[in-house]
Amino acid sequence: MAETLAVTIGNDLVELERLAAQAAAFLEAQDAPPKVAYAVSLALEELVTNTIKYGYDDAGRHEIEVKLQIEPARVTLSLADDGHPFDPLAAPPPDVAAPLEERSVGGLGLHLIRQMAAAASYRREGGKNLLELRFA
Amino acid sequence: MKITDTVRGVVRTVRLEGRLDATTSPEAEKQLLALAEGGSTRMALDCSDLEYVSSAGLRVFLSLAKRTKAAGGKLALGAPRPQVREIFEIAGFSSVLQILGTLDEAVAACQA
Repeated sequence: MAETLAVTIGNDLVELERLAAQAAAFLEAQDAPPKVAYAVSLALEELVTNTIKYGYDDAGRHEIEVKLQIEPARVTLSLADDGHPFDPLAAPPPDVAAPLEERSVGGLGLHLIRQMAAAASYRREGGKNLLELRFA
Repeated sequence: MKITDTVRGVVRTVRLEGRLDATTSPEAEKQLLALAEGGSTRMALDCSDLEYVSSAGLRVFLSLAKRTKAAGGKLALGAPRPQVREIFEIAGFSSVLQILGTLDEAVAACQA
């Protein structure tokens, strides 16, 4: 049996903050393990912030659909946005072995999520980026 | 994100409480760099109440580490929580930052 939180927000960082609080409360109410709750919060912050900041070529309002599904051994986060095509799973990984002077945070957010998710899939359909992340 | 600091001998210990996310990180970075610029070349960060770090938070640590290195100082992180420690590990930060299990060890690392 799955419990689901389905929310649509505008491409606005303030709305994202509100969503993050909602998601955290939902995860807690469902007794999600701390590790999973952290991973989901991180994924929401990194991915949706990226979408809001870089996903659109216009200044208009866009909607981002978020679905969080919690089952006994699995939590699934699904995101849909109508920004330009972008596959976060295909972004090149950062150099995590570079010396300090050469280190940057570019790409780190996506790298963290890819490492923390048990499974991830992306497709482009109907003019939307569709991403699904699974956490165990 | 609440930042408080105190002095232990030659080391400034800085306590980070709360979250280092996209919203709180810019201000936290400003405060930490100001402390570093104010002559605190030896800084031990108490991470025991640091609840959450995202890539925005990692940027703060990286910025501080680079500044410290350039100034010939010492920076060490103490007592990060398991989830936060894992983030540092996935990001490969353990090879460019000193991360110790306790604040005492972090302070000692800064005295060396």
